[in-house]
Amino acid sequence: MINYSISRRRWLSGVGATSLLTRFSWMNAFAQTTTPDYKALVCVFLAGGNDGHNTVVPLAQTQFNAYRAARGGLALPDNNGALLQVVTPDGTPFGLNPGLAAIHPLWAQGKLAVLANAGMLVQPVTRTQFLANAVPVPTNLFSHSDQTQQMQSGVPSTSGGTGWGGRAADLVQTLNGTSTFPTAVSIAGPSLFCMGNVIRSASLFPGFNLDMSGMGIWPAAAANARKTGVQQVLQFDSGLALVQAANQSRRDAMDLNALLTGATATLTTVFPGTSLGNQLQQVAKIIKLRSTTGMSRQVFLCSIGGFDTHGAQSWQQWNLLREVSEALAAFYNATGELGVADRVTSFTMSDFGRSLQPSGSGCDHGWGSHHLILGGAVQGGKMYGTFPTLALGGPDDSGTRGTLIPTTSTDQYGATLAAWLGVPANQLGTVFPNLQEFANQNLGFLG
Amino acid sequence: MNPTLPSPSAAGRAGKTRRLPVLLSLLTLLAPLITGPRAQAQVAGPITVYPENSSLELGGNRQFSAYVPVSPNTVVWSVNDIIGGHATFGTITPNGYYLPPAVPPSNNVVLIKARSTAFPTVVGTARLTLTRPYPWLWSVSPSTLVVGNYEVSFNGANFTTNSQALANGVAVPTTYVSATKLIARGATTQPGTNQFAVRQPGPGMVVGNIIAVPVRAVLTQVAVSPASATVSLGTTRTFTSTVTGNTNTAVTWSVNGISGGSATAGTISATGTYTAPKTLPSPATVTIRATSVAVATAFAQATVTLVPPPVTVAVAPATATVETGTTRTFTATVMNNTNPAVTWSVNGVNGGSATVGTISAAGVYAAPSGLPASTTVILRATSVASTSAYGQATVTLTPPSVVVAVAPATATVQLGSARTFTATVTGNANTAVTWSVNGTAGGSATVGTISAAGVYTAPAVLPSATSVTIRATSAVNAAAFGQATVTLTSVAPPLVWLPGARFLEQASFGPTPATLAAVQQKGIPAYLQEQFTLPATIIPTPTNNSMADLRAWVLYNYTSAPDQLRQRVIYSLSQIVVTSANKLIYPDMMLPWMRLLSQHAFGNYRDLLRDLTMSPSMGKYLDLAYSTKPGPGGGANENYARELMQLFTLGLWQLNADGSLLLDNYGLPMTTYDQGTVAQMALALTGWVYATPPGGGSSYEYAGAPMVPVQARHDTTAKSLLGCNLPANQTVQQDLEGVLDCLMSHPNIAPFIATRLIRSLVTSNPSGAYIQRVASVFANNGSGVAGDLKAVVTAILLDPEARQDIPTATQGRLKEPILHVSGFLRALNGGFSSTQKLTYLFDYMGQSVLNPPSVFSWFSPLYRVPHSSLFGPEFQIYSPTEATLRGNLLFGLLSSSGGDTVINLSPFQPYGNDLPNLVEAANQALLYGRMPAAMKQVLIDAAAPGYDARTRIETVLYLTALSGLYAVQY
Repeated sequence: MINYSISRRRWLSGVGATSLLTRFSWMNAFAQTTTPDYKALVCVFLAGGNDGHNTVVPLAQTQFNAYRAARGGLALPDNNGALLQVVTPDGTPFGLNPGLAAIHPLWAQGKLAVLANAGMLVQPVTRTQFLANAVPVPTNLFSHSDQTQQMQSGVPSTSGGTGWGGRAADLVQTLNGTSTFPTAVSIAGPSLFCMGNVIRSASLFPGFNLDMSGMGIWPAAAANARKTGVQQVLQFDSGLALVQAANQSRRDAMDLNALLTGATATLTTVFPGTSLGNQLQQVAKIIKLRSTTGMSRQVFLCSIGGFDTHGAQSWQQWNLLREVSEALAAFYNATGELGVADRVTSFTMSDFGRSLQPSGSGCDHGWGSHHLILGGAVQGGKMYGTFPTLALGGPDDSGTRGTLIPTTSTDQYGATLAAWLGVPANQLGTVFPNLQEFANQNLGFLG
Repeated sequence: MNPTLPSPSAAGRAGKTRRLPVLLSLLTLLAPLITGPRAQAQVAGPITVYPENSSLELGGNRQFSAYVPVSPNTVVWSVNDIIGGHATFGTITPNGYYLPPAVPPSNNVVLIKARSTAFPTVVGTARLTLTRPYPWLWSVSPSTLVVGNYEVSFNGANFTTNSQALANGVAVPTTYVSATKLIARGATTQPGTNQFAVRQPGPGMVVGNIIAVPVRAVLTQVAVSPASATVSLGTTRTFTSTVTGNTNTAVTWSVNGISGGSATAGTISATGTYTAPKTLPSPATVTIRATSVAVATAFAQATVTLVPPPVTVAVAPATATVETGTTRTFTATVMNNTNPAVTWSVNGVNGGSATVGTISAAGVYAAPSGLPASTTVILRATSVASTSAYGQATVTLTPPSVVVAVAPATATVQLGSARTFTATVTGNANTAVTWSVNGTAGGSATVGTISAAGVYTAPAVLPSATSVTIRATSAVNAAAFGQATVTLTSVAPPLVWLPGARFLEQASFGPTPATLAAVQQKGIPAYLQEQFTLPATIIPTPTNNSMADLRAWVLYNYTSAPDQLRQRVIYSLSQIVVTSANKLIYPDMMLPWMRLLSQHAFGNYRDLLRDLTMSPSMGKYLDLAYSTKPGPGGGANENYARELMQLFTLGLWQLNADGSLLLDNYGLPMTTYDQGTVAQMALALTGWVYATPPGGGSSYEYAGAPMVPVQARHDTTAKSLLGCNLPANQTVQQDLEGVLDCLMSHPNIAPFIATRLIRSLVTSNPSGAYIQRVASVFANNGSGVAGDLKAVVTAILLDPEARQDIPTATQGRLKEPILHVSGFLRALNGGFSSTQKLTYLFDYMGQSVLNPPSVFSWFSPLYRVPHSSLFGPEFQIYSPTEATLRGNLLFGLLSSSGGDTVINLSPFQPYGNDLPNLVEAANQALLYGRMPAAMKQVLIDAAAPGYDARTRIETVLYLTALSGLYAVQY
């Protein structure tokens, strides 16, 4: 309790400091010494709670036997194909779900890493502590709405009103100078993840343009007069600050639209025609426009649903992971095409993991889960975090069904990403209020 | 290798030599592998090279083969004794494949040799004659020649720049054009034949095939021009002769074979001038011949067709002056024809026209009623027998002598009103006139009517052309009239009472025409009191427990509920004490919360907090339900306790009464509470569980009644929080009351809630004094009661800073999507339908109805205007995408009224053709008269090219709604 109180307080102070910056002239807290280069984080949210147990499977014989024993009929491999073997530097073999074939080669190239058993935590917690209620844990574990909000807010309760992607963007936005382009962009509709205290976030839909309605009327002279009129109406200096700002917002929208539709953001890389493929293609196009938008730091959110596999999981998860891996592989290739492969890092998040023990042909809501991190800057070909013991009622189980207690927190995961993006170490606590509860605040997967 | 094996077969030597190189080359490759360092020599006959004697055109190739009767049978190939050959003589591969050089060597015979590798003295030789490509001559153009100089074109193949044309074996000047074309020039002296050929010069010289071209002699020829002619009787025509092929160009002329002609057939002079006879001969065709004086057999002829003289038409009088509105008769006489009929036209138009006057078949010309642009017109009578024959008369049109004058000549008349015009007639005793408007006698409803006495009554709606013409026409001459131009103006739209409109932006979801009238009539204080007394709109329970239906209804309610102030306060409170459909996914779980907000909107904040704490909605949303005293199997849940302080009552920082931060001795802000406070409050709030449904059943998440206390689950220790002490062993309810007392007595709650409500209702950047005035009312409503929301709302809305109709530079608040859109619909006297399907659009715009993303609601009250120090909470959801979608929804509401939403544009329709007043109507409806003059002109210019009135109305309203002046409530 005491630890939690400190973390909560510290974070609240951080939020207060952010909003009070101008009043106290703490602007130097934001001074950046980094040169204005380009970096972007791309979160792919696997909505519904991806089953990490069948995403990455231990192949060392003892662990594999334990896995099969706990998973029963849900154990891989199954009819969808052979597991894709990867080996960690110490020689430990693991198998990736066959749906991940498209990104499997990136492991050997050192561009793909796995973070084992990560999830929301208030502080490190053991099975004994958990069962005895000895230390605080996130509120409403196993609940979609709460855990989705917590993963996106980075706060282990529902009291987070901003997202950790947005707060990380707050702390690097000065690198973007005077650009009016939104720093945090969701391609999956308005999202908590992208909302910051300072930065402007936006949602842009794949293929969606920001054309204004009613501008294509007949005859052309009438349409042109309307378009000219809009421009002029937004130019009046009313002397009212908020009116000016509202006009500026709409002018920004028109400029942004001209940017997105006028610029030839075409890519040679072919993306799969799936929802996630379209989303990541849109991200790649925005990255391509970076010199035009003037952006040096960006945060993106994409999302793919359907992972709440209570039943008929086998083909469904394989098929979803296939869509994920094919889209991510195309996106990685596109970043190569754009010359920013080592400046763009993609990573997965999900509501939570799933229970090791099956329920029928699926499994139930869990807690910790494995995640994929991909990009040129990733120190890949490695397994990060601590791979859990796969045993029902085992040392990592929060109960009896294999809803595993995370051995790495979302705070550590996100802080490693945020630090790479450029958030100064002494401000990471503003993004992740509980970070200092964890000894290792940089997991090292980004060098 | 077995040395006896490799001798080539006889067949190979005889006819299949081409196979041999393959075999040889294979063996050549194999030899080192099979034979070891050196094969033993075995002498035999000489080497024979095939073909031994041949010729080859440059550009071709040749495969040589060698018969080698020694073993091993490998050879080395050379050209002119150079192994592998040379670019000058051609090259040869180790397999005997020869390629000639680009140009022949000076000696165009080369020697191809195959030398045994085993026995270098054993050699075979072949002679190869290199020739230039054969110069084919396919044709010569022209294909015949006339004695004298000629220039011909050779068409063929394989020509080169040094190809030489030959004529009868003699070289003639030649020009190279292309590989398929040469030009040759020369001369012939007598008829006969010319034999042409092409020579490719040596070495390798070759002469191509021959084409023979006939040459013929020169002839004397005569030509006559024209070769045929039509000549009228009695007229003349001159013919000319041309003699070629002879130096003597003289000719003699004859008609029908009679030199000089005759009276019957016509005569012709020595210079070729033919004079037709007076009467038509039979046949009517004669032949004119010119015969060479030098060669009598050389002549040429022309055919002359004799025809009668042309028809002519005469018109009388040839010139005339005619007054407009009168008539004049003209006559036409046809000559040289028996048919006297003619057709009449005026300025080329048969029968004439209203503009230039008409003319009858009898030649009666009626002048037009008014002068045409050109006052001179041409009357033409055209012969029916010969349509090329016509006569003309020139008419000069003059104005009538009767003159009508109308007064006043110009006037401006407002729609629906009348104006009298007078007509003065001079130049005639009859002064009667008839009146018309835009050419319609008596006028019409569209353009206005006019009486016989000249009283013009303007129409009710402005016509598309806002200027009409009134005309008084003389009864004597229809062409005599006077006119007046009337400019129609619509009635200026009524002015909106700005103080009332501003009040309604703050106290409702935007003014409507009806509420504007009401507040103006009653005054703001009385209108406010009336709002407080209106019954609360009943919140329906959606069928099928559908959250979509409830969300749809909420928007409908915002635009239609009569108790607008209550709804606006509910809406503000819903952003302070938040729940969300993202967790309360069914209406039955959310409705208790919604009804509490409605119930307490004008009640006491403490009562609201108490009921909220016990509400199953909040119990689920912030996890107070089942929060139990610490012990095995459960722990006090801090979620509600924390938000109760941070968001619902106190905030994070200690505040002065004016809302500013209370600072410590070091000038730093001080926190309101610490985690210990949260833990203590969480303990004080333990023991609440869902009520049991009537008749029993599971109480889990039962939402039909407030939560109930279970003392056994309550922590009964003493609590100390925020300077308050709750003694041990209190009941669940006693501890709750203690917590509420403590919160209500905290100095933060008044400025904190006052600031939140002011930001939500009036302005994002209130002054400290304003906050303090409202906070003092929150602390004490004047009767010693704290938390009186009716008094607080009154204080907020009637404060001088709220009623400040001339804005300061930082005044106002950006409208969020719900207020922007609802206000627009209400301003246009419309609203959402209760079953509309548009709520998803608000999801995209960042204001998902009833479904904010977190307990912090849709946007943070501390969010600042981008690149500014000013607060602008609503700007957090005014990103480019959201701003665009919002604008597009506004356009959708304008352009597709009637389904999900309704608007009423009838107040704007009278101004569809009256842009200044249309813009003024939009100014009054949306900006309450505050539109800058320059913006009015912009809107006029923007709307002017619109196709119709509807388009122009949409342009003006759309652009006004997009403007920051409408997006911000100020």
